[in-house]
Amino acid sequence: MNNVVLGKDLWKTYNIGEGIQVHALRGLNISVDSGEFVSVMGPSGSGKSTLLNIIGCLDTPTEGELYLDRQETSTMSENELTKIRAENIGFIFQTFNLIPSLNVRDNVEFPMRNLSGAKKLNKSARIENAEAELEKVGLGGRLNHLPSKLSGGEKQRVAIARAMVNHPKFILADEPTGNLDSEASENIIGLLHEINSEGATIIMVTHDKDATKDTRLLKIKDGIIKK
Amino acid sequence: MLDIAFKDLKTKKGRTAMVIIGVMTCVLLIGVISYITFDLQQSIQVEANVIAGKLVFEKNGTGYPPAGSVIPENLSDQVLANSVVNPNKSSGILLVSLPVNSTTIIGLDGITPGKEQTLINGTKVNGKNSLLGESNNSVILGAQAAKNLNVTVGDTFTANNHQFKVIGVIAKQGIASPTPLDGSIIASLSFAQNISQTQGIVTVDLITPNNGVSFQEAKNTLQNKYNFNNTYTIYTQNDALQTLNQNESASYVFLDLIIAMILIVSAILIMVVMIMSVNEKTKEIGTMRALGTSKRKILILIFYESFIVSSIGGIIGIILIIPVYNLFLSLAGSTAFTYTIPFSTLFEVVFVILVIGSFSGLIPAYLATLISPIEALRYE
Repeated sequence: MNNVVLGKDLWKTYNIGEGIQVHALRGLNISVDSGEFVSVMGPSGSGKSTLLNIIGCLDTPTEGELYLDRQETSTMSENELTKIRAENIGFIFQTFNLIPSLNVRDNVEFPMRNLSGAKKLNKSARIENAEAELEKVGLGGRLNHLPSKLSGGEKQRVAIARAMVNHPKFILADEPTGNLDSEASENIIGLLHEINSEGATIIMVTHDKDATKDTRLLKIKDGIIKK
Repeated sequence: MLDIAFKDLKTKKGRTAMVIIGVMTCVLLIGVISYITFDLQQSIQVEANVIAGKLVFEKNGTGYPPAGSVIPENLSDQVLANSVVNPNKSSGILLVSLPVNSTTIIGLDGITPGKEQTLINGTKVNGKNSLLGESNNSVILGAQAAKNLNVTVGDTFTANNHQFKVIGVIAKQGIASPTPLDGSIIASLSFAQNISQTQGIVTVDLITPNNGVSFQEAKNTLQNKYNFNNTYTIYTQNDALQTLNQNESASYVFLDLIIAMILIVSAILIMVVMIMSVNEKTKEIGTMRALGTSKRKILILIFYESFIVSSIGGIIGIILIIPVYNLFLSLAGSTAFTYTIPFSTLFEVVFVILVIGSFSGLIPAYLATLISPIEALRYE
């Protein structure tokens, strides 16, 4: 099987002063294959966000190794991690995190500006790709709308299009339905399953048990994944 | 990132407008003050140009312009008779303040008839350019004096209970503003002495060195021969410029200080607004960083925003310099308006825009790069 994410013995320790250490991850092991839809559940303080930040290359483990598409990232520099995020990871946030001054099309186009080298695209190609992704999520008619004019569900669909536009190795979704009503939540989860069925690898952190249906569920507690 | 910077500024119209107005005001103030300084320096140059190519022999301590200088006429004649002096292009001159009416005083230059070119210096004259052979009350007017008195060649006018006959009007010398000669009346020395009751006295000797005699040689010769007990002094146009600039040095320092203060306050103000903007954008910056935007691009984005508002405000400020300065001139009673910005002023305001745009944006831009994506994404 093709590991997209492989975490071996991951530790994350925070020194909070006066010699006190907090271990957010305690030797966690995780493996996600290409094309999988993995859900991560756990109580508050279990290490979900820390795991997400490390897999998302926003943070590095104190100990252990993390491989993304067989590249060891735990010792990479900040610039290298930035590049990994640009090319290989799509993010979906609980609070959508769309850029308020950019319209829908520009928000989805934005991640493509961060591509470099052979992957770099000119403006017309970026716009074309953005519009194509927005069509897939059913927002082809809202291209010029600012985020403030969209409903929660629509914003999250824009966020999904944005996460997909660079054809990343995997998508990290942090509580994607956390700020949505049940109907919108169902639509978003449905959309995520749809893109997963087309081959996208998805790692989703969630508190919503219903959202984990038809996914491989990992339960995290006290910084490790419980079997 | 430039288009994103524009879109971001467009979204926050109120704040953007505020910063643009701030920069515009700063550039306008600095531009006008710089223009005032430039005009001051120009007027000093114009004053000193009256004695361009000449030496001035006057009473020591009266400085330039030598309004308070008094030289006995016989001493003046001795100086002018010296071998280093060109007698045809040198003359004693009596400077008189002539009240024309209750509010207007015009400078009257009394000069030996036949020596008018010492002052006129070849400038075109409408009518006659010499008082030789004319009646004692004949005068040659500067262009501005003729305009103020509302007279032309052939007219007569009365001032201070004396009648004057206009035999010539000198073409306007000043471009932006009148020169001293433009505003003067040239009369015969005897007539000037008569109306001011200063017989036997001149104010200065205006001297052109003789052919083959250098300025320094003429200056040294006359200084050594006629400066008994340091009573008299002799100086050149450069000396006059130095004196005039020294007199105005306090003004220059004061104006430069005002410019520096405006610049510092404006730069700090705009920097504070940009820092506020960066703080508000914390989550946005965190998102951008999560999406793979480098620190360098974040820095460039903030820098662009600062530069755009500075440039827009600066351009508007530059456009307004001339109308505001002309308004200032009209309030000061001038009728000589300006339609171009001096290069030095333009250079100064462009420099100001660059400083404000770059410096004020640099620190907030740097602070933006320090934002941790993880912390920023948690920011509410």
